[in-house]
Amino acid sequence: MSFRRVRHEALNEEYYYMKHATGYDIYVIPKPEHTKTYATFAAKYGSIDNTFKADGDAQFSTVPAGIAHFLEHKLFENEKENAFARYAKTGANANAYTSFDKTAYLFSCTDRFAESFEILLDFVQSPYFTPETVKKEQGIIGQEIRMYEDNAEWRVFFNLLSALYHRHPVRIDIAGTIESISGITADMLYRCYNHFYNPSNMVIIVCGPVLPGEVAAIADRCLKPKPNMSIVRSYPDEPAQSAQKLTRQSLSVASPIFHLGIKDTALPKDGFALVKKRAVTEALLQYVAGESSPLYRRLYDEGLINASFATEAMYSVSYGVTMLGGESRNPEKVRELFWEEIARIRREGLEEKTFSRCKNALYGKQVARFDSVEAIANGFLSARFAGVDLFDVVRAYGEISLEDAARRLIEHFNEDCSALSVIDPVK
Amino acid sequence: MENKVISGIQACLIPSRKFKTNSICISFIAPLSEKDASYNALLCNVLRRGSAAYPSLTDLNIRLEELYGANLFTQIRKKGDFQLVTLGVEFLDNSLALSGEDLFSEAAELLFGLILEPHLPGGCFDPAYVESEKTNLIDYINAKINDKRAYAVSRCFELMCAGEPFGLDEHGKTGIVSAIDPCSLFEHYKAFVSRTPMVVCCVGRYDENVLSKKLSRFKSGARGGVPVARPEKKRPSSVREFTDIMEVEQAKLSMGFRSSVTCADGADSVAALSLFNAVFGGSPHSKLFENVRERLSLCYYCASRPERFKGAMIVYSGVEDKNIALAREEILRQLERIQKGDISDGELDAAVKTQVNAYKSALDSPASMEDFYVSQLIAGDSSTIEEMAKRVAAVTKERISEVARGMVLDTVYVLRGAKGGEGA
Repeated sequence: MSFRRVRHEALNEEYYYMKHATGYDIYVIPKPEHTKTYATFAAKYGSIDNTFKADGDAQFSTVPAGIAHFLEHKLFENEKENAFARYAKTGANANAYTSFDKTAYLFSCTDRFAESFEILLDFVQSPYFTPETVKKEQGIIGQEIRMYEDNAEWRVFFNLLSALYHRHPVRIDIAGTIESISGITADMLYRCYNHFYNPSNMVIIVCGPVLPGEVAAIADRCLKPKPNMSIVRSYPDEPAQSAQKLTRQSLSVASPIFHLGIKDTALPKDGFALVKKRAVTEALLQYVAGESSPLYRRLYDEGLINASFATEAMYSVSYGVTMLGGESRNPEKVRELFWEEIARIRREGLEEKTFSRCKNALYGKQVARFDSVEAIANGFLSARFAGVDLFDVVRAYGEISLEDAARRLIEHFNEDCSALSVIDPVK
Repeated sequence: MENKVISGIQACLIPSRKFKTNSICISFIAPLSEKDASYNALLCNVLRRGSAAYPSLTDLNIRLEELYGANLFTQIRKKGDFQLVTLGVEFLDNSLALSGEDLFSEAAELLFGLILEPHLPGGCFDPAYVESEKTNLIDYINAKINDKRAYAVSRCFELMCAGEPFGLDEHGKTGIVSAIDPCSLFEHYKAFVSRTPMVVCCVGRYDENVLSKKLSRFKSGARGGVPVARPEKKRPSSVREFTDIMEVEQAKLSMGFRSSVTCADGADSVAALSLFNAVFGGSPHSKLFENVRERLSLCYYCASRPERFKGAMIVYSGVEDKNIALAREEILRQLERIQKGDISDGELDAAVKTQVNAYKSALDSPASMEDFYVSQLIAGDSSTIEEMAKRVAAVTKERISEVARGMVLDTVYVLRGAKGGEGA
């Protein structure tokens, strides 16, 4: 078994890929001069994967919202000793996260990589769920959900998604609700685990001062064969138009916070096309509402936004949202001026010089990510689950053209597919 | 890492060839006071609006895009009784510029220009900039309440250290900010930029000759050296209790302690303090995590953080109203265990390894290195990151217990909803 080496000359970066005998994909990105190594073992399984069927199932079944995240918490626990206690012996900084479309277990360390990597591979492959441990976790996650209920930044984002989407599960909070998680049982956790935690649906990524051979030797020792399971996920049909144009909630915040979003339901199957779509969208966001844009200047000068203003393009295989937001005294006015500006640019066309400057800025940001082992590994993970690699992502940003952007401006920036989410201060 | 004085200014140079980006940070170190903190924070934001060469935000941001999305940032930090006012820039290394630009010189010129040649239409700050940045700063200060977790920590320190500089908001006070006019701000600026002790920190690849030329534009005559923190150690006579009622689902419990260890006690004591914190509540195998969260299932987070520049520690948690008393009791019980020396070999070993890992991890982050070395100057400690990692490895259980015994509860702060459980 051997590694394939892939190199990016201009960036002076490279990675090694191998398909392990057990079926897991392993990627190693060496950073010989860094001190820290970051490793992640991740499943393409997130909060949106609640309706699915596997080999042999006749029908789709649906599990409670929040189960992927619940499973993430529970996997840390074992019959003997929880994973944190094991990491305590190596000093690694360990964690995990669940997003809409993935669950990742990770650690970073400056010493004893081999021991920590063994722990990671071992506990992720060793589920242990009992009614008692499930009950205990309901208390902890219950408090996590409560904490997010008070978090205005989180609420404004999820309220936006539930306004944009009619049915797609991206509209539901990643952790679920106190009610939905109360229905989770140990059996359900095993079932989800067995479906989604299998070699064809998982990937291992290591970035830092390590050698591919070192990683492979530990993988040989620790990875256990497991039957591959082909999983069919089902997402409800999602109309192109948004479900609601406006959503408001009151929380104890000082001034209103808003997110303006545009939904994209025409997502390409091809991974590179998807990544490029995101890159073009980011370039356009920079062009239309970035800090050097006339719109940003006007909004800032009129006191409608402040330094908290930010834009983001969130694109995955089954959902895509283009967003801008921050604090504002008058979110509706921001929305109005944003659409006026879109109309103006559509009328007058995109300027070549401004566009290439925006592209330059995005190039710099992409390159800068290669300074951080976390950013490299997490970027690689998202790219891999989209079906490409991190160098493809860099290439996508290099390839976007003015024509791509002009086309995207017409097809995507459509008011019917948008929504405004506002958190108002409690009166 | 090298600390040296260049053109009369304290510089902290951290050479590295492993990063694709380089950074330059200029920090001014001022005693924290209500009035000056407000002026300094506003000044920082007004300077960020534009310089003589790039008078508007748009001009400035166009320039940053040309420099491959260089990141120009401002930062206000509190270190004990000091306020650090920082303007910095991160930019690609020259080797990655697509047209052979000298990005170090260009970025340095931009940054120094913002501080030394501000945009001064009619010889004073632009009134429109000052007005809009006043509004933004006031909004920013008021918005601290949005993040309940962080708010409950700073509010506890505010109550605990009322009357001490550390109890002040490092971004200033809204009432003072709202009364500042462009001329008084400009007068403040002239004194601030010529007299406040400062340090410039470069991480990555830098050109010392370019730096030296740029730094010579700062006046160094009236400027003192970087001040060294020597915090007073206070002992509370009794525990004070405060409660705020807000519309929240989850209550926050913050417990402020006075600590007998400060940065003035030297690097070994600081190492013991950081190790104590790892055992108590600074890691996912700490006593607080293991007991308050895992064993009793009372919360999602319960953690501790020492303030070595002050001689204080905060324990913070988010809990259900009805569990506040239970959580508080358990937190104190865990502290008492450490005070009595109830630390296992496993806990000590985990704490050492975690802290060594935390120190050494900073070596991969330019921002963490900048913060570490600027903090070391204020602590008056010359230990490097690598040396601190060695020191924590030598800390004994007895030292950790001793640090724990020096922790005395001063203030308990609860933020909770109106409808919740038993009263506080």
